[in-house]
Amino acid sequence: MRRFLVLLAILAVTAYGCTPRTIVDDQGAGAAGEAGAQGQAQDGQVTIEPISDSVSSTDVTASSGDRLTDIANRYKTSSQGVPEFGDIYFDFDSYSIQGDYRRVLDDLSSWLTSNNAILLVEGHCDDRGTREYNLALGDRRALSIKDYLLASGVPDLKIETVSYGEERPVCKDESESCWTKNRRGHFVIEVVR
Amino acid sequence: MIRAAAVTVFMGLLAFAPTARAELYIDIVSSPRKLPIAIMELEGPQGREVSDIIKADLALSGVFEPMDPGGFTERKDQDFDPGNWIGTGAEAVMKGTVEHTGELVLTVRLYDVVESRLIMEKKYRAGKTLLRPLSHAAANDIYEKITGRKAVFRTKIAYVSADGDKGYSLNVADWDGMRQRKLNVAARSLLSPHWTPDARKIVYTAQRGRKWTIYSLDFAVLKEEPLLDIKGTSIAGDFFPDGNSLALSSSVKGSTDIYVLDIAKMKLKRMTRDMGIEVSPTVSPDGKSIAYVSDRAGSPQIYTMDSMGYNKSRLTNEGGYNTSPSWSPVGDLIAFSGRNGGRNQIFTVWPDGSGLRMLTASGNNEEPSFSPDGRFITFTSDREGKRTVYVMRSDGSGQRRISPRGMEAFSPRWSPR
Repeated sequence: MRRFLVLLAILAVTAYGCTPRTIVDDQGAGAAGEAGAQGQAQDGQVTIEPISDSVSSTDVTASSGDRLTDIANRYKTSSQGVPEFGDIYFDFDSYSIQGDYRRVLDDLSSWLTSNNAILLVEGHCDDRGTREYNLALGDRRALSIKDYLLASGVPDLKIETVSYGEERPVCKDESESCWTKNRRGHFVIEVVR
Repeated sequence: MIRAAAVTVFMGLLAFAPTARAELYIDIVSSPRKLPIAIMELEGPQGREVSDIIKADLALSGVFEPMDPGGFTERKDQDFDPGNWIGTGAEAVMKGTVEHTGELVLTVRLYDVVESRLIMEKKYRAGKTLLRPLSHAAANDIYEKITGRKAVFRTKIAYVSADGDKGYSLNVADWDGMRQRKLNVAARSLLSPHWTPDARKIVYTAQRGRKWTIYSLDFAVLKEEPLLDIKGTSIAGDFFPDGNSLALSSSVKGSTDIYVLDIAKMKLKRMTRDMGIEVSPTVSPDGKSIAYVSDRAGSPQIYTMDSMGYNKSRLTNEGGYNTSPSWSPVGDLIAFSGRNGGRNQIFTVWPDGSGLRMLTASGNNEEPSFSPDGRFITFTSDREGKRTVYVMRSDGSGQRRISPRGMEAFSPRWSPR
C-alpha cells in the first residue's frame, strides 16, 4: 500500500512536470501569444555573432572569450566583478529598443551566458502618463528587453522582470532631459555563488 | 467600521392624504434652475454645525441654492409660518432640533412654502461622535424628497497618499473630504482602490519588494488578504455588479492583457490577446460591457468590448493619449483622462463615442471615478502643485479639492452607496 502511494506520488510529480504551467487562462491559448511576442522581437532585431563559415569551434570559444575581455575593458566593474551596463532609454510611450542600445544588450547577453548570475530587469516611465498605464508600460519595456535577451540566447531562468511604472523617478524636474532619464530599463545583477 | 454607524430613522414620513396639488419637485435632469431653500439653524447644541453640513451638501449638489440667513425673519424657535417666507424667494424651508440624550437626536422638518405645508418630518439618532453622518443622512432625505432621486451625501472616497520615505498608504474620507482617516494599509506603492458593490471591502494593487499583488481589505475586521498573487504585474480594475467577478489586467502571459477573475473559483478568463498593452478595465453598470485602454493602434486609446471579450470597438478618436476610463454607475457616460496641449485633462464621452466634453483645464487632471448617482466625478489634480484629490459635478462645474492641503494624494475611487 505504502509503495503504491509512493508510486502515485512519483506519477503525480512526473505528470505535473510535463504539464505546461497554466496557472491561469481557461482558454489555454496564452502560450501562442507568448511565442508570438518572442517571434516579433526576433524579427526586428536578430543579432548574429560574427562567426564566419571557416571558423572552427575552438575559435568560437576564443571569440566569446575575446568578447568578455572586451566587455571587461569597456564597462566599469563593480567590487563583485559585475560590469555596470548602465540604463537603456526609451522614447515617449514606446517600448521598442532603440538601435543604440542593442550593443549594450548584446554585451549583457554575452556576459550573462558566461556567468552564473540572475538579471532583474526594471521597467520605468516618466510621469507624464497616468499611473496605471505607466505601470503596464514599464512592464512592457521590461518584457521587450527580456525578449531581446531570450532571442540572443540567455536562458529564461536567468531573467526576472519588474515594473515600477512612474513610481521611482531618478529625476523629478518637469523637463524633457529629465523625462528622458526616467524612461529607462534598469539592470540589477545578482551573482550566484 | 468604515460604514458610518447606523443612523436610525424611527419616524418615517408622516402620512398625508392623497392630494391633487402640485408637489414641490425639481427635475434634476432637465432643469438648469436651482431650487432656493432656507436651511434654518437647528435649535439646541450644535444646531449651527448640523445646518451648515446640510447646507453645504445641498449647495454642492448643484440642485439647491441655500439662501442667506440674513434675510430670514422667522426665528428658529418659532413655528413655521408661510407668511414669513412668501416674497423671500424661498420655496422650501428646513427647521429642526438637536438634542443630546446620551446619544445625538436630530429632528428635521421640511416645509413647502407655496403649498404652506409640512412635507417631511424625520428623527435621526446616533452616537455622539457621529454628528456629520447624522447630518448627511438628513441632507440625503431632503434631496430625495424634492428630486425623487437618491443622494450620495453619505458615500465615501478612498484614495492613496504618499507619506515620504514610508511609501504610500490608503485613506478614506466622506464625500466632502471630512473625516479623512488612514486605513492600516501601507506599501512601497499603491494603485487605485476599487470597492466591492456592497462597500464592505476594497481591493487594491500594492507593490512590496519586487512584486505587485492584488489585495483585499475587509472593513469589518480591517484585515488585508492577498486576492491574486501570480507571475507578472496584475492590476485590479472594477468589480462586476454582482460582486462575484473582478475585471483586472495582468502580464502573467507576457504583455499586459485584460482578464476577468471569478473570485469563488479563483479562475482567470482572458479577454484580450494583443501584443501591446491592454489595461485599466472598467465595467458598465449592467455588467454587459467593459471599457479599457489599448495601444493596439500605436497610442493608448479607450476601447469597449462585451463581457465575453467580443465586439471590440474603439471609443476615443481625438488625442494621442487617452487612459484611465471610468464607466458611470448610471451608464450614460464614460470619463477618462486625455492628453490635450501637453497636459492630461478629464473628458467624458457617451458609450457610443459621441458627445466628447473636456471638463478640466488647469494643471494635469487624471484618474476620474464617478459617484454612484453618476452626478459627480472625483479625480487627481496637480493644479495647486502637489497632486491632490478633487471632486466636481459630472458637467465639470463645482471643482474643489477634498484631500488635506499639503498631503500628496491621488488615485481616488468613489464608494457605492
